[in-house]
Amino acid sequence: MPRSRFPATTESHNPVPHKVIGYVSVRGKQSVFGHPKKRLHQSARAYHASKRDLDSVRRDLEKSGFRILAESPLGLSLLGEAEQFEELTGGAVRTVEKLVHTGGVQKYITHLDITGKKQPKTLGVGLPKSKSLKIDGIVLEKPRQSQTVFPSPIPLPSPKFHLNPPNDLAVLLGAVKAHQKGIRGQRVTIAMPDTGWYRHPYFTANRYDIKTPMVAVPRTDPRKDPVGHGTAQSSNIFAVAPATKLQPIRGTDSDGKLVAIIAAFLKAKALKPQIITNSWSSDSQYPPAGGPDEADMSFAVEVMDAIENGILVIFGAGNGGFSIEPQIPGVLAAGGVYVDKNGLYRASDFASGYRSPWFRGVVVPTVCGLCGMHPRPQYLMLPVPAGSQLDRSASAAQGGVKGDFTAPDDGWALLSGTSSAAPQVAGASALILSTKPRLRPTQVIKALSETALDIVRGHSSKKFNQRARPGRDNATGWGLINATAAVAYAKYHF
Amino acid sequence: MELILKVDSDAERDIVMERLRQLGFDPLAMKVGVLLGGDIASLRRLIPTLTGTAIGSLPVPTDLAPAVRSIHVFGPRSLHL
Repeated sequence: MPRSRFPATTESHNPVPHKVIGYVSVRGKQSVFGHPKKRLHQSARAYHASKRDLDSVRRDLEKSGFRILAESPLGLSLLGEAEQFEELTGGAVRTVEKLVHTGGVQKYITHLDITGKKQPKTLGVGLPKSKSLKIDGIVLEKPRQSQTVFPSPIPLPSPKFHLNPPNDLAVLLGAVKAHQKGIRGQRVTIAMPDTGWYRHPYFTANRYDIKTPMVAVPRTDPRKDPVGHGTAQSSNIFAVAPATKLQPIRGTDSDGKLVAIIAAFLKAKALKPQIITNSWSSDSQYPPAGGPDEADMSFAVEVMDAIENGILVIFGAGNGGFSIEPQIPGVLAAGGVYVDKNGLYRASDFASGYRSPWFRGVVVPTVCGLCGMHPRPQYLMLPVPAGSQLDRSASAAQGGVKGDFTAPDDGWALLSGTSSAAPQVAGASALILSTKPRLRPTQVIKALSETALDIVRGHSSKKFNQRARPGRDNATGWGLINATAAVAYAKYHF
Repeated sequence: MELILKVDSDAERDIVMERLRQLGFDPLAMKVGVLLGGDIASLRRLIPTLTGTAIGSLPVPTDLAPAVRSIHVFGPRSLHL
């Protein structure tokens, strides 16, 4: 069997069950414990315990609160609380995700293990704390059938045409050749102010590097993402730049409302990362009645200051909305291109695309990532916290369009938008900066723009209705990014 | 809700930030002022004219008037879903 790209075991976020079933082997003449490759004796009788020892162990276990479920001349099957097993072994009962191959598919199944200084490395096996107990070894029951693996680290299937991270995105965004050359976004940190970030098993299984999330709203939980948006969209970064470092910054309150996203941006800026990617913005009237208001202008100054200090700032162009953020001079505005099942490329009619009425010479978007189509861009299968707002909404019908055919609490959702395009472009930028770390934001933008795939079909969202044409246009900017070509351009020209 | 308290100089910004910290807020420095966030109830302690639907500029309370030039409310931000 070929070696899986996923680790054999990985950390689990599933709780230890209240009741645990185990097996206690009572000491006999021979033992199977003590060495992982011990050979079996010719006869099972060699492992039999004496009746006296068996009775003694049973009494001890019952006294400790275990319920004996079954008994044989070799040992006892028992039910107890995890704490009782911990008391018996002196170790700790923990959950571990183990990769299993079943029915031609790989999946992680939650196992229980006993860990501790004097405990064996074999999964699920423990030794008694005291030798006087006449117990040879303890084995926690292995799952004998598929149990809740939560959430799956592997994208769930859906009958709807869609792309799966990381491979489909890496291919369509031209990142594969760069990866093969060892350019994977090393030594680059991307900060992402968003709704929060949850350590979904997808990230652990792929060995992505994520710093401890920060919060902008005091007393909110940095490990939670009640909406699921930050978690989902961050996976786009790693599809293109698997070795980059992510710093998530939560800008939501405990209900998931985006109440402190400006503060989250300022916190990101203070960290001086190479890149800040943003999948949010204000929403103003179009065409605008006047110029941006003073609050927005003050934020624009903040963004321009970040760029002047060498930080590449990326904003999604918007999903039909008009806002100041992607128009701020120096910002890389990420728009949307849709590649259908026949491999046809066109401008996404879900994404915003226009010439800025506020800033001379600015076209939104600058370049594009991948984005689905109007009315419901169910295009990328992305990891979300199970039961989060996005997990629920993506699975439900909306505006006459069916849901994504996944459950509302399975930790995967089919969605996209320029929210996805921005982190994809951030990933490509990380590849460039990992090979040329001293480049200015304008140079990174130039490399991405000069090498983008020109899109000549389709139009931007209805509000703007800008057509894609040969060359730079108001629907897709310079076109769909090609990460490897952009890296090569930067290497050659800068 | 997030607001910007605009100031004319770095020195004034420091004064405003110190004052806000004394009042129990957690302000963040911006290039042209101070970012202040929180729920309506807590912000109203500082700016009594603030309402849940306020956008645009607000009158500067007397307490902050010497250092703060103007106060502006950030419009809501939404996700590019």
